Amino acid sequence: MLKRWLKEITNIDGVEGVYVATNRADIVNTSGLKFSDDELRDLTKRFLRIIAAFDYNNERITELEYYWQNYFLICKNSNHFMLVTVCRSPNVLSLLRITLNVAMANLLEDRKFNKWLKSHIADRGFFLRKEGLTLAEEKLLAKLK
Amino acid sequence: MALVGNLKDLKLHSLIQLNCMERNTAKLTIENAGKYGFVYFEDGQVVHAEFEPEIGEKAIAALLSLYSGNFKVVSGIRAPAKTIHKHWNNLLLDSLNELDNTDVNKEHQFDHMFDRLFTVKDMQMVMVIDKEGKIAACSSDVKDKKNYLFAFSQLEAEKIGEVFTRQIPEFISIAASPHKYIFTSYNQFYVVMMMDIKVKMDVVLPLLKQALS
Repeated sequence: MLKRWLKEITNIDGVEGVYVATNRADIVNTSGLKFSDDELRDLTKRFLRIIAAFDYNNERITELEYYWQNYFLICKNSNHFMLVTVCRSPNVLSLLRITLNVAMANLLEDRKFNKWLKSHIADRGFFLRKEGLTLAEEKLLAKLK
Repeated sequence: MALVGNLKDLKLHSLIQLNCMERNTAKLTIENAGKYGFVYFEDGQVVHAEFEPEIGEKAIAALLSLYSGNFKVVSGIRAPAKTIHKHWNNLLLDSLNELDNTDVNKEHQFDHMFDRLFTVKDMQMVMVIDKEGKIAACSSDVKDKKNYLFAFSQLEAEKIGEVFTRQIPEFISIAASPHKYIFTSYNQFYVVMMMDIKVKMDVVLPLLKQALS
């Protein structure tokens, strides 16, 4: 089911690739992307930090989107996993968002996937720990607390 | 026939330049929130200015800090006194330099941008912060130290750009019900806009780009 939905998303013309990651920044599955697992893990950690910082502020992020000139990144966040899509065309964003919403809804209903996820539950706040942060990041987080 | 307008459309330094380069003798009247200021030109030099409680060069500096105000230039009117002796070029340079260093100017430098952003439907709040999260301007009171949260998010966004060997994203959107936060860079600052979560980015982004240009 997971692979099928990732394929569905990558089949949209203009989508470069997609991946699913856990709250531990483990890469569950990818489709179409040319980045290494380490690069994707680093990317995921950044997302998790932002999400955790907002959690700390009692705000739950459901979606992050990043826009460059002709490059777009959409991160759909759920409680225990995230679905990250990279897209090159602004023309497909509407269709992509609909597909992503449907994919997320299906993944949340998928028993096999959810059963597997249960053994990979983690606290996103782990990524706000001092050890992994730069001085600038630490300073900002300290002011937030 | 008098030249009339608003400082929003034609800045004071442009008006001064225009009258001086045309070698005019004229009186420029500016009205801002019921308060009047006057600048007198004589044969293309600025010779006197008043903007209570200031006169002379200090009045010029105070008038230059206004970002809006109705103005009227009437030719042929001579100054009642001569309180400015500097060449108009140096006068403008010195006054604008002084303005860059005053808090009054810093407080209002984003007013125009805020006006334009609030023409976008569903805009609820606009905040301008620096990289350390210090608020440079905000349209309303900030709760929960959100400014530091936004600065942190922007810092992480720069790192995200590095993964793709790209620069910092042009725009970032963070959906956290009931709000959508949209971030962008603006000179050496970050602008954070809080909108309703239902806003469609495809619709809103072109409007925001226009408002920020």
